[in-house]
Amino acid sequence: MPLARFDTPGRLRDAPEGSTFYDEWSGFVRLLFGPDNPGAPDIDDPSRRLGGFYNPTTTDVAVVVNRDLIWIGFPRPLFVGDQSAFAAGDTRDRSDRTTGGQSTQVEYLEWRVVRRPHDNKITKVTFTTETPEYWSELHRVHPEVVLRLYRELLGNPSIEERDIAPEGFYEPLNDWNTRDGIIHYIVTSPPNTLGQAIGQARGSVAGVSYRDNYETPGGDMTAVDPRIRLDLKALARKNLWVTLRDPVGLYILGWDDMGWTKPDDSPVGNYWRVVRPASEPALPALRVEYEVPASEGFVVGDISIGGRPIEHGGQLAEHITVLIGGLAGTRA
Amino acid sequence: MSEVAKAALETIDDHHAVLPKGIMLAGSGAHLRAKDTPKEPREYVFRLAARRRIQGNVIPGFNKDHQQFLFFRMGDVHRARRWLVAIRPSISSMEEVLTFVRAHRALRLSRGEAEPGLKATWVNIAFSSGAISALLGPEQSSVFGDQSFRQGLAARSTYLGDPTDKSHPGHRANWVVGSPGNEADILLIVAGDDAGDLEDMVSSLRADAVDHDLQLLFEQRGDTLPGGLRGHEHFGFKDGISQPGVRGKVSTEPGDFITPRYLVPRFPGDQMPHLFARPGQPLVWPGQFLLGEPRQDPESFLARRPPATDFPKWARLGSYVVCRRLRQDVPAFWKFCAEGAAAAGVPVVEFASRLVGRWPSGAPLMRASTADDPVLAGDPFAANHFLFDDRTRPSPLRPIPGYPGDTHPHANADMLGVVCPHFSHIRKMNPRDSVTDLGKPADTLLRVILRRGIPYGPPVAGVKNPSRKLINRERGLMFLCYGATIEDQFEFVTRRWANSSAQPNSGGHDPVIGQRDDGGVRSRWLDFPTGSGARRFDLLHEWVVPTGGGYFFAPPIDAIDGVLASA
Repeated sequence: MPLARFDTPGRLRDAPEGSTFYDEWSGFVRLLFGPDNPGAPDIDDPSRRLGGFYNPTTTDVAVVVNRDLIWIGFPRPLFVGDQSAFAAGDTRDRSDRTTGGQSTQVEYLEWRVVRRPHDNKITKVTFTTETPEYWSELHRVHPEVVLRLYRELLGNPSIEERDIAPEGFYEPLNDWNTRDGIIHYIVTSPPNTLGQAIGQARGSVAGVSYRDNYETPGGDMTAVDPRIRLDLKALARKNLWVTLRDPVGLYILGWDDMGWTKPDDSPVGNYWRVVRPASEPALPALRVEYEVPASEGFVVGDISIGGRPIEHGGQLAEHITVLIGGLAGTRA
Repeated sequence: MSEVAKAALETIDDHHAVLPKGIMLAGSGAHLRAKDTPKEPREYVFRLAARRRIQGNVIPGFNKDHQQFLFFRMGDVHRARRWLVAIRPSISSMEEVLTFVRAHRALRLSRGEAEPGLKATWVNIAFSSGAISALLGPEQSSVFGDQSFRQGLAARSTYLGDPTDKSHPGHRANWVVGSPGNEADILLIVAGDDAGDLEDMVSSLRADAVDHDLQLLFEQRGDTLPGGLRGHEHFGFKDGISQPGVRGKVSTEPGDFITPRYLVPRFPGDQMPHLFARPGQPLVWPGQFLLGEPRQDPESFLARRPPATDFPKWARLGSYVVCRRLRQDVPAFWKFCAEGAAAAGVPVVEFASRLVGRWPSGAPLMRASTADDPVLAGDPFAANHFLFDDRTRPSPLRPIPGYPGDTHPHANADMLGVVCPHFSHIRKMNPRDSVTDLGKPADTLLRVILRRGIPYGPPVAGVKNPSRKLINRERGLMFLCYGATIEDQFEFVTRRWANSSAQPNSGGHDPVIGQRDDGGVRSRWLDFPTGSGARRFDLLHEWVVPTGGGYFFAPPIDAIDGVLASA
């Protein structure tokens, strides 16, 4: 049986029960998936087509592979950049949410750092994998819910509707999602959007086919794009039809704070808090905060990772993994 | 230990590779005839001056049966400098080792003997960041771009997953060398074919060092395991099979490569002969191991990028060294394997082999999925020839006298890790063609290292009815590797891949060398593939425990007296 409906990312239940939003969201995602995309001709036998990309709400496929597509949250272009161009201890993260589309956070993980004014030490880092499409669609149906969530997530009851929808419709690059806060993705070049991720998956099966990954061309410098494109293409080479797993979304899979130490050199406690989804299971997550409880007597900027003080949010992002779920199966 | 585990351990030396007869393999730096090689890409030529500067254990590697590691602390710096001047002529260069390898091969060819009897004893040296700072001043050591080197192994220990509990024997405070306050300034590596010659050399070096106010903090003897376990590590598995091939030539003459090339094109324009030296051995630009040389392009298997510049000028052609003394609890490993095998319903050696990714002989699971294949293990063109994600196609080779060709079954695609699980040690450390958490497989070439380790301690694997005393003797691996960074190579594969259940691909932690420490809890897990799906195993005990080591830098030889001793 084909999938009845695409669920919301993380099975979020932001809209009231029974709201038309859930069906509308499913319809929106269905449009992003589009019709099935046939596979490429087999390079050794062009009369035969390899597996394609399918829309699970319209096409029935017997799933045989549940594939987690996982990558690091820190931007690979910076990770493999020439270290000699950077000062010691610089994580190469110069991103700043005020610059919008010029941000470097291109791996479908965006973050915002809060610093203590008097010494500039980091007190909190918020990570998100939420997409602008979700918030735009939710605002279209339930603007009051979006306003409530902005106020709750940013801890600021003074946020007004005109702040986030100044022209009457939702503005993803509003001040509370750029200069003054973080709610969802804003990177636009290349875009961190659900449509881009689905498009990457959908397009992976098309074009020229290859016999193995040594034949594939270089292309994108990011970690995420080859991860989605090459993995799905490799599954399609096995004559499997591929798609993305419901609930379709980008997720924070987890983090690794091994070797992170308090000012007294003892291991840190668990200072991670999954904010969205609020329901279990907490992981994979959409929004995560890292903040040291006041009772500890120190802040994030006093923590060291492998003996190096935390000075940038990117130092944390290096140890976060991001996920999109893939499926592959045989078609009748 | 159960009888099943004991039986497996006692007979593990039956799993040794059957070496082919009559094949004359080229050693490192072997000179091929021009007509044997495809059209050559432009590669760096290691001219004589460079070959005399590069230390020989970096390239091509000592590969001797007996080695001694001496960890020194400098006393009076002026006397240490005089010692450096004195020891400099003893340091063996790439040229010296290559010359030996070529002479050895020539004798093998002319006499037709596998071991023609040539012998050598070699010495190499490496310095900690602290030593460079003491000899040249902190401003010189601060120019080294690798921050992990500047911090040292002890400071990075828990980042590598080592124990945080001070009562744990693997906690850095309990290391035999390299613990805070007990870190070595200088590492001497002495290697020889003959144990007696090695001991004579070590005695002389030790005495001379002490005369120059160097304190010997610790020394460790390493030896290849005897008999059928030659080339194996203490758990009983063949080690060191997969090494990257360093790009570059000894001269401009056609075919005169550092790493011999064997592949020929399958079709016009085939790039594989330019990507691999022999099947399964990827070619890597030398700047991944030597400072100041052309490096691997992050986006391409083939392209190079300009040399790094984040080091003092005198350090060009030097290499970072990671030394880890890893204690192995062999009975604990086999006890886990016996229990796991019973639970999974497979033979114990098969269970253990899936943890490693190879059978004890070295035969890869990817090409021998149900039983060990010592003949495959002994075939130097087949034992490392496999992909993970797709079916492996034959790689045509240039004519090799006596070699009939790779007639073993080729590897089928195993993208899901059913045959060679994603947690298996060889798949963790070298994902080959697989996409990783860093994306394209070309990125993996940025992570490879030159491994130069050797076992220490008496073997218990393969010993019939070992005594309690023998079982309790300490044994392990002196892990040693070279690279042009520590952080992006050794530390990368250790922390991000071996120690992770999800990276580079999801399936569990590396059960051989993986380390975890979540607030003192050190359990790991793996999802073992069975006929009815994956079965989760929790690894509650450890069988590899770090017990010492350090981060060092092996300078170019002329810098030993010309720079480090001359300030």
